[in-house]
Amino acid sequence: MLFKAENIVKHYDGNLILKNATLVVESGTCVSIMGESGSGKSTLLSILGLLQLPDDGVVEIDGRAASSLPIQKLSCLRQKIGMVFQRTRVVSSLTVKENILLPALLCGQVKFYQKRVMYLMELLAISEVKDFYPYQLSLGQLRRVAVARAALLQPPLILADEPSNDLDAKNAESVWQVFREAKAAGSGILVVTHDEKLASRSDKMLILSDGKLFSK
Amino acid sequence: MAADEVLLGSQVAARQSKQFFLLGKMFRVAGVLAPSGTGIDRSIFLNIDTARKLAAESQSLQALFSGMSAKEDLISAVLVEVSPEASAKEVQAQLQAIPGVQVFSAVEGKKQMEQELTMLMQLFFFMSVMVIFAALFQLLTRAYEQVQSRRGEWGLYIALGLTPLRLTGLIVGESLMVCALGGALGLVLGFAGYQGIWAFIGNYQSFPFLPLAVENEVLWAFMIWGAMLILGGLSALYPALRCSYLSAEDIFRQSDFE
Repeated sequence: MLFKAENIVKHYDGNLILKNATLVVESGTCVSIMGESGSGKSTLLSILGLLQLPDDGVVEIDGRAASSLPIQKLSCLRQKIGMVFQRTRVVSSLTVKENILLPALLCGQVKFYQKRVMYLMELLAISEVKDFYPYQLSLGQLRRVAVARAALLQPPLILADEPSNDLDAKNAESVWQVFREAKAAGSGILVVTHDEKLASRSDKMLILSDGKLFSK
Repeated sequence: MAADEVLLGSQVAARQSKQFFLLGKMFRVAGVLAPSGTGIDRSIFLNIDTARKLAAESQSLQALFSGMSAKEDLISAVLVEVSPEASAKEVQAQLQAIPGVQVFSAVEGKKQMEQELTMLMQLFFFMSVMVIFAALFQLLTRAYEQVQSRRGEWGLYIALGLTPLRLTGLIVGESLMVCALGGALGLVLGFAGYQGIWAFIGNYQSFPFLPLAVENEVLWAFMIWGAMLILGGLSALYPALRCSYLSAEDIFRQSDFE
């Protein structure tokens, strides 16, 4: 699957955040975006995740413009995108395991993903807290729950906003391991990060500056 | 009444039988009184001479009667039925004139109780209406509060690919389930409380008392349960429609993606 954002323009409160930003994420590749805080990285990520519409420009998925799709189709496409949000976003009334299984629950395939959820929890060292509720977890554990949830369905595209925030070197490595396996399985990965070590492992490194993307 | 006959109150004659065994003697059941809602329902009536004889002979009653006055005076109640053509008030006045007799008219007592019960029922009705209004207000407040407090959770579902239609179904379904379980539990507890209160009052009644005449209790229970479900569904519609058609952009604007 090919995800493409072309000439994306986005304003916020009258400020021009993105100026003709263009990028492509192909299957089996990892692209990282770095940039200053407030430069529009997360906005770009949310546009690619079909959570926001650009003011101008096109988001294409396998050659089809997302903005022309009806809301039902957009919802279906979102199921093919695993997202790690900047503020983790977990459901407080669900346990760790249930939160990770949420995408499978929403598409009615919980049983099918039982083994995978165990594997991901093991890999990300959160299996010991699988029955804990979010308020019992540290920020680092919450971050890993969000990563596991994004990777659960092995989606064609994973969008990760600061996935290594709040993590020590060992746990950051386990997150990278999840991405590496997803990449090997054919997922395209787009990572927004301040972590240079994580960015340096990607196939393509971009800098977002002054609303535009530049290769590093 | 013949010496071997008894008249039974409706609660005494729980089982249909032509014979009745009392204090070691077999009696013929001459009749069963219609339920009155009074202590008469738990009474046995028999020939006064037979009753005195039984009381005198009964070992078990000796302890009760010892120390009391002559057995002839141990008449606690006499049931008087007035024929339709007679004046009940005149009969009552004549009986009242007998020394030591207190006349109690079941018909008048029943009327008085019905008046008192009507007031009580009006009070209950008013309270019920107030409770329903309070519940409705609470439901609407909860619906509005849900839109605010669970906006993030529902936004996450949208971001994970849940369609607006399914999200609407999820929110309404959740509300219906809560209402169904809560309603069923409320009805069971209410029914148990109702039975318990009437049993308690019934055991201590000293005057005619009629329980609520509710027919088709099961039908009423289902109707109330159904009303609860409808209210629950309606209260969930507002947050469901508000949230399921929110764009993800609106949901995340003030949080993750700003």
